[in-house]
Amino acid sequence: MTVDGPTPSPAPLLVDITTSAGTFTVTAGFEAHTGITVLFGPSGSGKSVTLATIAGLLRPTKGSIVLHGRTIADAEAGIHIKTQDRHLGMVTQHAALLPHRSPVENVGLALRTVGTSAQGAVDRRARREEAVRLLAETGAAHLAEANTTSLSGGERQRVALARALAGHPQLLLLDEPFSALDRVSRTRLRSLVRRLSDERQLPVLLVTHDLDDVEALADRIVEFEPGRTVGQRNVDPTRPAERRGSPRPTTSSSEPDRS
Amino acid sequence: MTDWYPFWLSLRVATTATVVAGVLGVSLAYLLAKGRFPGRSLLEAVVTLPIVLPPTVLGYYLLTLLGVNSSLGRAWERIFGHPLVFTVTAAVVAATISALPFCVRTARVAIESVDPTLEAAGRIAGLPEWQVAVQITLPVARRGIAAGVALGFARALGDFGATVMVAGNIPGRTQTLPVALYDAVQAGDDATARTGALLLGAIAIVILLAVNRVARSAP
Repeated sequence: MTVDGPTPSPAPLLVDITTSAGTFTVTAGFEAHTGITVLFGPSGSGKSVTLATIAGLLRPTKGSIVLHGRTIADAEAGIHIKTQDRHLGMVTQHAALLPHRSPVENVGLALRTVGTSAQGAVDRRARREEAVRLLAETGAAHLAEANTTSLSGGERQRVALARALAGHPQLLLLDEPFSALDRVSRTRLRSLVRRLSDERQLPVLLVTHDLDDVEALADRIVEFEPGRTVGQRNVDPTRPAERRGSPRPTTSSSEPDRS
Repeated sequence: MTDWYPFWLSLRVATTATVVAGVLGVSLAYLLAKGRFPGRSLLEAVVTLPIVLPPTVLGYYLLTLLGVNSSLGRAWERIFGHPLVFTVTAAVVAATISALPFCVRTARVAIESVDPTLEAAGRIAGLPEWQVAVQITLPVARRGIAAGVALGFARALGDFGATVMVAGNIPGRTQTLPVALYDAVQAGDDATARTGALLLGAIAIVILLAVNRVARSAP
């Protein structure tokens, strides 16, 4: 296993998979550490399919995924931990908020264990308070009782981020979370993601085809070409931000089979 | 004076049939939309059959299946002490089977058009599959499901052929409004026929308007 960070311990997320979705096949090999790992590449290169495979929404046809030392998928060994049991948070391009539930209920949905007593009784008030607290953390407390269908793009993403954090995720998956936003909201949401990543000390995977996202947020870059990953590297935090995302030869192996 | 029994019987039969066809139909629609199992296409074809079969043919097969000489019919008689056919219950069975494909097909389309990223969001939030269905898929598809159930009610209320075959035409017992309408025309009772036709027509139009309204409004 290639480790190009300074830490000798295994990375929290090890991905080495091939996934077929219809006629499309993507082969991805990379690892992610605490901080933001950007999966960067052109549209249609398989970034979202890779993310969906890590989420357990798709099954890999080859290879395995190890999250915090636990194999959550292994095609050869027939291991497929259900999405529900992977303890993830995810935000997609259009936020996927339930239209028939208020923002606070959307967040509460992911709080399955909060406010549940040993006898299994659900304390709705505790759950609600926790949901409002999470909304406050993403700057959306004032939207708790708003009409979900009338939220703006930026507001939707804030609610979706609060929901993603609600289940105490071991890994945060962000699939083009800013691409449907205007410039101003995009800048604000980037700062929010940066802050949440720093505070929560989570591995975060951010799928994007926007170089600005890479420059603003990447601690680590995994580069995609159509159908495969072509390299991964840490971003040197001492380099000027505007040069961080410039494509250059990567330091680690480009083959997905890295074992 | 007009005899209102057929009208109330029709309402009772159609309502009961719609409840049964609604619950069964939405479950089948969910299974057909989400399930991948052997025999799925066969199940789909069987459920759709009542739309394409002539109602009297459907009624004939129900009579064969549930009649006093069939094993199901004999089992019913052993348990309840009287035959199933030519009772109000038989009218409910006929109306249920007639209404079922409308509930299933409309609900299935609605369930299949639910944005899969919403269901994925529920799974990622940790909801078990049955809660994804109950808290996300069915509520988001509720308008289509309601439209299907309304169409099923209209079909159940108007059934003639299947009902007359398995429930018969016993005035004051199993005679529903469509059957009474036919009898009134046969007997030259124009006043009763007009009232029946007006009632059935008005209910059908109200249901159609309601379905269109539900279908047009945004989710």
